[in-house]
Amino acid sequence: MASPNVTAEVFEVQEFPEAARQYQVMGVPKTIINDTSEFVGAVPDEVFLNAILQAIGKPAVEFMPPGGA
Amino acid sequence: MMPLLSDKDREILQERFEHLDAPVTLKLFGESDARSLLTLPGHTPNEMAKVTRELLEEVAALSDKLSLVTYDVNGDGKAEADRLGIQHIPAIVLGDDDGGRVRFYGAPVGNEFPTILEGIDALSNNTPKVRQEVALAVAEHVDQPVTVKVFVTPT
Repeated sequence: MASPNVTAEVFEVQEFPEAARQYQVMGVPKTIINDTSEFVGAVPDEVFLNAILQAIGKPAVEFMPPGGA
Repeated sequence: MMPLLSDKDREILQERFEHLDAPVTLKLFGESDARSLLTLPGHTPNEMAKVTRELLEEVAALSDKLSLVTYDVNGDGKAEADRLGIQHIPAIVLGDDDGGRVRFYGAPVGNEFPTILEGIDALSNNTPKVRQEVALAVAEHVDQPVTVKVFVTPT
């Protein structure tokens, strides 16, 4: 929603085992960005953003910790 | 036919949908009953697509802010499915976004259902779930197309 460039697809692995195999899904939730960058589990927003930036070859962005100084 | 949602479910959802602001369109890509009742050689009817349609029809009927558009990927919905690159059915696309950028593949059962409800809330009330500073950074730095796939299980 925050960017017109991002498309989000959610796959239910039991119905689409082939897609899950193709992306070697061993644990859920598993997130794959542009078929190149990936992580398993829920991550903080900024980690997610930086995984996206890594996938498109851009430097990471640093944030102040939430509620921090 | 027995409804999929109980009276209690309906009540809870109706109350939840009272907080919706802007209308939200749900696009469902599946196959028509007529076709899925036929047993064509090499064609397995997609039962989940049928259940998904019934569920979404029941959900959409609970709020005048929600509308459901169904596309038969084997029939007159094929052009739209091809345009958006819909690769599996059932597929649910949230919102009117021209690129169909928020999509769910699979029946909205288990954990997927609340996620879809949250997506409806976020779109209708324009409240992304990410922290505002992260949302701003996304808008600033993500300057090329990105596809994020998330694999989930129903439980």
